[in-house]
Amino acid sequence: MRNLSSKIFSRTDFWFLTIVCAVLLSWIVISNISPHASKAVILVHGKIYKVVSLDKNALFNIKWKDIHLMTVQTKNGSIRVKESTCKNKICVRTGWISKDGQSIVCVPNRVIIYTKGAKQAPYDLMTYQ
Amino acid sequence: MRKTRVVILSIFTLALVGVVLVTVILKRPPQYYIQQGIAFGTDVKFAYATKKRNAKIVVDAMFDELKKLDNIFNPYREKSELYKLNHSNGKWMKVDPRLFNVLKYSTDFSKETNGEFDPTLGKVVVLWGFNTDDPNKWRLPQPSEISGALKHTGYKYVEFKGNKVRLLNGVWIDLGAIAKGYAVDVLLKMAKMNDPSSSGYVDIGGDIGIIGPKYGNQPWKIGIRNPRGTINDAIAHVYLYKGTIATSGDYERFIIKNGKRYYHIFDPKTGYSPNNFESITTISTSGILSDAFGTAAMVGGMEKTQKWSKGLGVAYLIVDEKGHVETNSLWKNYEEP
Amino acid sequence: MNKIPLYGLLIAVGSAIYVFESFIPFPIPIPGARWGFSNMVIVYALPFTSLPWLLALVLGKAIVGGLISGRFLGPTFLMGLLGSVSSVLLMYTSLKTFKKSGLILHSVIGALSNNVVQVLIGAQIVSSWVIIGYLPYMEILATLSGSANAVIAGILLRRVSKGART
Repeated sequence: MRNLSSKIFSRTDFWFLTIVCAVLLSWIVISNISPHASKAVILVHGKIYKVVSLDKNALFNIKWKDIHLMTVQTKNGSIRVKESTCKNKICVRTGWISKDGQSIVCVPNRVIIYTKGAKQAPYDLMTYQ
Repeated sequence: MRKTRVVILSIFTLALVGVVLVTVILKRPPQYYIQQGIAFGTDVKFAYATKKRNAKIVVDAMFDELKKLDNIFNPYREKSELYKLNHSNGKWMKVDPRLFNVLKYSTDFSKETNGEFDPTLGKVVVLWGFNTDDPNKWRLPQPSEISGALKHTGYKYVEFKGNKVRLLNGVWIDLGAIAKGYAVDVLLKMAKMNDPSSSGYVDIGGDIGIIGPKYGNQPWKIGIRNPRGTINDAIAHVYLYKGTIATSGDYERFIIKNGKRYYHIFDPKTGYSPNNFESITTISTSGILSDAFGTAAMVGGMEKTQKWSKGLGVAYLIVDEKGHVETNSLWKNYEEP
Repeated sequence: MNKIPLYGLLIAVGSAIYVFESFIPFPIPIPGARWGFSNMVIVYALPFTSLPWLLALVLGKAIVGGLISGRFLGPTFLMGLLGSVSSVLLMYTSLKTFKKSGLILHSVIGALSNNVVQVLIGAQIVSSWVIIGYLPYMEILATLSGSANAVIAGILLRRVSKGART
């Protein structure tokens, strides 16, 4: 066997780690400046299933082809998955999300919930006489 | 030796990353080829995306097709099929099969609505001047003129035999209530024939048909123009994955005389415009149905509209004369994405 | 040691870590995301192994680990496999390119690329780009676990080489 005396840590590694951490931390800081969201979009199987307002406190079920997938709760401007039929419960563990652009993902059930800003997107088209 | 190995490895790694990126980019939302213009006497806008990479060719063909349709269906363009038919003096005339089919559809729809929808009001439309875009020619006719023009109307005077049509009693056909919707259907068919999984929309003067969902899986968000608002003022929104949507209203071609509004849709019984709704927006699987239904509803009023919509499966949003919004249960399916 | 027993042993150890690490909670709620401590065996093998054997190691570890954890051929299995293959390729390239650097750089590069590929594929599976928002957090953890892998693998390499020499 050759080359076994390989270094673990050197000056190159130090600078590399510094740069990586700096980039990642600034990325996180920038993404956290985002304001509170007003709506949440629920995608099931890649399609928009429902858009809910976060102002209201509500509890509702998500179904796909009549099969119950999960229970979602909105409260005080936040949204969470309260209960889910999936195995790993990652979506439930995510907990509450409230800021613009955050998301809850459940791959087994193919559900994504993400938050959206206050501005209503303008329409794509207008129908008129 | 070592250097070449490193170079080969780097190239290999870069190629792998490249392949991952390319597959990711290829799966990205399709890019729409969008073209706007004036055709069919109105503003037209198409958005089209297809994997076959011929979007521009198809959209150009769609514009050409609109020109051809205008040459058939525009009764006020000399040399058009419909102009010739209107001036055929009651003789049997062999017409373009497309005109034949639309005429047949119109008269069938007239029967279905007990004549509230009537494609034979050409002479009434001309009398009021609403056949032109020029507001200076729009006028309030004398009651005697109107009753005179009304004598030459009636969908029963359109007769069919084989592939021929004749117009009796001097009626003039005006398909303004239905031609845009028919054109939407024709163009949707073209787009889907080119590529059944293509996506986009056709918008012919506010009559919209969906070719396929936005980016393949999202609905198109469509605003419904506020009949008493500005051009960009929407009174409601709907989300469409497919189907067609059309609006009839009293706010584009109208005159106000003595505080009363007269516009381009007429009650076949009176020759005056009805006062039921400010506008009605309809959603159905067929553009021609969405379009015709709106005109019939403007004339028929609330009760008949409710009845017809159940039979025909049309979703509607009505803005009535007081500005109140009324929708039917089918409409609810489109209110959320 | 011969090659087959050596890499068999490494696959076994890697799979054991793979199963064991799923008991350590991972703070980011992305399906299929994990610490990646099992990649320690790859970092360990990196300095003395040719590329084909490294790939064999990755594949073996993914299959055995996948079978034991019951994720074999599921969507997250594919995410993990493609992630590890790309990370091995990058680690090997980094090893051959940055001669002056230590194991940490190679290991962290591997861990970072692993996560990037995983998130990209995850975005395809759920057909939405929103989960990319989790990437910076995942990469911070990847930097930590990648460094830890490198330190442990490096210490092991020194011990084993001393033992082999005596």
